[in-house]
Amino acid sequence: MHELTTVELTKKFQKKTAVQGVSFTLTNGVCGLLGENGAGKTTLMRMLCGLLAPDGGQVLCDGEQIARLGGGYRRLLGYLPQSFGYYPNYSALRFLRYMAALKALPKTYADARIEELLALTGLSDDRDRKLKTFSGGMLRRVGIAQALLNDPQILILDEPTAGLDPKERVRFRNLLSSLGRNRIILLSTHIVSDLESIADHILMMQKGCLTASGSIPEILSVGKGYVWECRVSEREAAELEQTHVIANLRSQGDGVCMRIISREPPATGAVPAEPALEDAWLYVLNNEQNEEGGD
Amino acid sequence: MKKTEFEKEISRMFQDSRVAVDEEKKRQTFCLLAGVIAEQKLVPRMSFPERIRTQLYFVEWRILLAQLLCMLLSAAVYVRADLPWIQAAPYLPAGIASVLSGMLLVLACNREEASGIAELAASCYFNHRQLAALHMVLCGGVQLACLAVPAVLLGKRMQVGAAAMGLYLTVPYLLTGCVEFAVLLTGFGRKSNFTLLAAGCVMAVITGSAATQPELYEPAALGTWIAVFAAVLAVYAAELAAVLERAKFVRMQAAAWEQN
Ligand SMILES: Nc1ncnc2c1ncn2[C@@H]1O[C@H](COP(=O)(O)OP(=O)(O)O)[C@@H](O)[C@H]1O
Ligand SMILES: [Mg+2]
Repeated sequence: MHELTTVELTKKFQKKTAVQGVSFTLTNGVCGLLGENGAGKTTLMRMLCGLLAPDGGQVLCDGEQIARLGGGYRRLLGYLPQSFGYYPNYSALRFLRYMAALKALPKTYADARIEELLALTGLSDDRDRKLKTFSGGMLRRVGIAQALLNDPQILILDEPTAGLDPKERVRFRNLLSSLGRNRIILLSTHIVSDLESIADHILMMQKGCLTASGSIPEILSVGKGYVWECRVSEREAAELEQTHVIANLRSQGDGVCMRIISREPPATGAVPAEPALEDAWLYVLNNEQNEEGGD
Repeated sequence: MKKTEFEKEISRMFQDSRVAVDEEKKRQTFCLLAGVIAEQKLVPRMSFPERIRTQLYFVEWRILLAQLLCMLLSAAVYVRADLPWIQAAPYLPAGIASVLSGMLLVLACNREEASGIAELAASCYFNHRQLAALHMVLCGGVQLACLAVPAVLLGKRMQVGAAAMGLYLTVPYLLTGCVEFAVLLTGFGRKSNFTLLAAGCVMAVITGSAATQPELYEPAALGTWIAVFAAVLAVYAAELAAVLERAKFVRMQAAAWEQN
């Protein structure tokens, strides 16, 4: 079992700080990195993979700096970049063989593994098609397959579900759960529902900082007491939308059912509701913005 | 690293052995052990010959084919023809063949450069640069073997020594490489191979007109050839290093920029 730790990790691009003092420890299990676009997820993941050198802080694997571990660390690593380059004229099979060569996998091992992964990602029938004819979702699956080639103990997936259709999302979740819990999996997303059923641990990131971190129950308890449900008229609903954070809204008869994130009851007759991950995320997001507004 | 951690853990356990075995430590040690086993067994390593063999699979066959064609044509000219223009400029076909070879090598490595695969590759055991370098060494080896054929034929015909013949062919080869790499580095030829082809044609014309000057191939000019060879080799090496260096990182950062 490995342990991946970051200590006060910081990265600046010119004047802009993309990642600011991020510290956490990952052990075996699925960890979801949640953040809006531009929050610094990709930058953080690149530093975890050793692709970008941090401007401050360290990335440690089992207590040792990853830069010093070098190839030994990369052997443990599987990485799916947010968007990856590929040779458009390569077939899926050829591309995976190329990646296996980069990962220094012997041919017999690689060929068996590639078969297995093509089946796992549902690409067995498309193995000889050129990558330039693939859809976005299929390319994503090829990317996931290459990340798994070396049976990585540390798997880092940057927005793995971007561009997947609903069916493919389900398949991806099944794939993640079939990978088992005996490795570190970190996946980033800006879509909360991607994480709901699969993540053991959540990291929430905003503007380069880690704003919340914990197991799902811990994260949910953050939103406890701040989630309300009420049924109001359409006119009231329009007013509430201006003044409150709305988690959900659906019309029912001549009124509107609303799910609202708020410290106080937003309307008369509002009843407290059990927070879902989405609510906690909205709460954390909004909390941050309020504090900033107060400065 | 893993091992020393593991050893430390064991020695710590033995220090405590007068008391009953600590269940938590036992579990931790078991996990560590499992990690060590996983690391050694699950991911087998690749031997050096295997590395080369794997790389052969990824050679651009179209480029090698062009190389072979180029070699066959120039060799055929020397074997068959007693055409008057060959009598007048015997070094012309071989010179053009080596210019084209120099261009083909850069075309082969532009493939590595252009497709932005660097980020993916940088997280793997070998970095992209190492693999690109290996690829170029392999392609370069094949090219040298190919160029040797017209060189031998021409050497026999002109009664020129092997060393001089080598100079006559490697200088245009390296010089073309220098120009092509320069094009790559300035960014013109990055997206399409068209600029590289155009530069290759220009070099072919220049070399072609130089090859029609018989005085260039007099023994008296050999000193100049050696000096030019040394200079061109140095530039070539520097540019090659720059190209390989860039294949690694800058493209990736550029990609990050484009996204945001
Ligand atoms: N190579 C780069 N050069 C300059 N700025 C960058 C670079 N990469 C990322 N950034 C900036 O850093 C911030 C975080 O980006 P990123 O890590 O890609 O966020 P996310 O993946 O969460 O969308 C963004 O504001 C982005 O503009
Ligand atoms: Mg990103």
